[in-house]
Amino acid sequence: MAASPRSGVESEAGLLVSTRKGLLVGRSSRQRREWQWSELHFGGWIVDYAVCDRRTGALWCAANSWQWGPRLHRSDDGGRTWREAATPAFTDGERSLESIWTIEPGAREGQIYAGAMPAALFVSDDDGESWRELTALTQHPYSEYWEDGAAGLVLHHIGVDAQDPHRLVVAGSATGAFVSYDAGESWEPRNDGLRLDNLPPDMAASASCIHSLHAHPTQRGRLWQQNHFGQYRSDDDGLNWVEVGQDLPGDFGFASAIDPSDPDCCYYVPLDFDQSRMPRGAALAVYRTRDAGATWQALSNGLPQTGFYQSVYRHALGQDGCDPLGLYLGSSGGEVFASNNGGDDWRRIRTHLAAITAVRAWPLNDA
Amino acid sequence: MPIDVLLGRGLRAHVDAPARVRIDGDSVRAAIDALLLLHPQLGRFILDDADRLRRHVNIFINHDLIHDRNHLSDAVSDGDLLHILPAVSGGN
Repeated sequence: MAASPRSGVESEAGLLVSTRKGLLVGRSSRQRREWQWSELHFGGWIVDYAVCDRRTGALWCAANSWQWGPRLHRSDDGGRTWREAATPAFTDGERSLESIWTIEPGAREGQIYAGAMPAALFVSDDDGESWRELTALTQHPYSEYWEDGAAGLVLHHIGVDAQDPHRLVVAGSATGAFVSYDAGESWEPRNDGLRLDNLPPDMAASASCIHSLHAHPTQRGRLWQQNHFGQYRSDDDGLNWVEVGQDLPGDFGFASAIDPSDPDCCYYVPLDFDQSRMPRGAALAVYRTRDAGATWQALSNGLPQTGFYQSVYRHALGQDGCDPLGLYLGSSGGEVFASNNGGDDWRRIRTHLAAITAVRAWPLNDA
Repeated sequence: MPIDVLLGRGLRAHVDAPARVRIDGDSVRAAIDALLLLHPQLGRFILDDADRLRRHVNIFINHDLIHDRNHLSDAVSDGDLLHILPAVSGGN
């Protein structure tokens, strides 16, 4: 929920493309039509997530190795050079950090959050120099019902409220959504009203499998989520959820994105169903609503409309906060598509990459 | 008792350490502790944050895989070779 109002002017954008073979850093032209790319950073390492902290301009990268474990890296020169930073770690002697799935700048100066596998939330209060786990989340009674998704038990989305440092919204697979109003000291599950096909109906509140969740930066309480069985909107911090995706071609999907200047606008990439995990008809489209989910527009101009036998992972749809809004989509087949007009038109800007785990962008004129 | 620890090529690709290190120890745990006193940068590559052997790292005593990956209690004897190697089970 970090406030990211549009600049109102054409801007260059930065783009971090995380892949299962390393990280690329992109920088656009002023109209965001042409891109210059770095060499591959962390080649051979699985980059699960990378993001720009717009407050400081620092870039953060969560890289992982099957053999050697997860590492967090930081760049203070726009991605030209990187240094290894402190990596969150468990201290109970039982759990071991398997990977870092998201990094989210906090509301307070120097505050950064990290979501991990196994599911846990870490916070740094000193700009990533040290980390501690917010254990109240994993000690919540509902954690008894958490179960692994295909990728493991993962906390992968963190919503931070720039206006209220005490308010946090988190989600994972399959942890469900939780809200805290005391900076993570206590948590309330927020899964009532979700339709889940994998649990008995009276257990639906305990451990929904959320694939992505966004809290809007300008309208408190407005949440959007894509879960294993549908697309939902909430207007009250998840106390009630409204299914909004009945007209979309598939209730399954991973990725979603919001427009930081329009609480009623959300983007999804529907996939056919959970045993397919590809766009229906092998035709890739992003779907946009601008009326809080009442109607949807299929945005496919420039996207492959035949033979797209790929998926789009949970962090692989991103926006840059520019005006017009730039959108970026990475595929499991290593292609990156970009739109510089809110999704109306798309261009393929990279090919031949490894599976893309995340795309995150930001306007370069504010960093 | 002196033993030699042999660090695999896949490990040394990431850490500046010699291929062979002579240390003293009567168990794998003692040997690893002694190794990390000399080369602390190896620690996070070999052990996880619960101080167990990483899932996709193997340690052999001569030709035998160690049995205790959690506490590294396997005994070592004078002249043993301790091989620390990346497993082929990981991959991407």
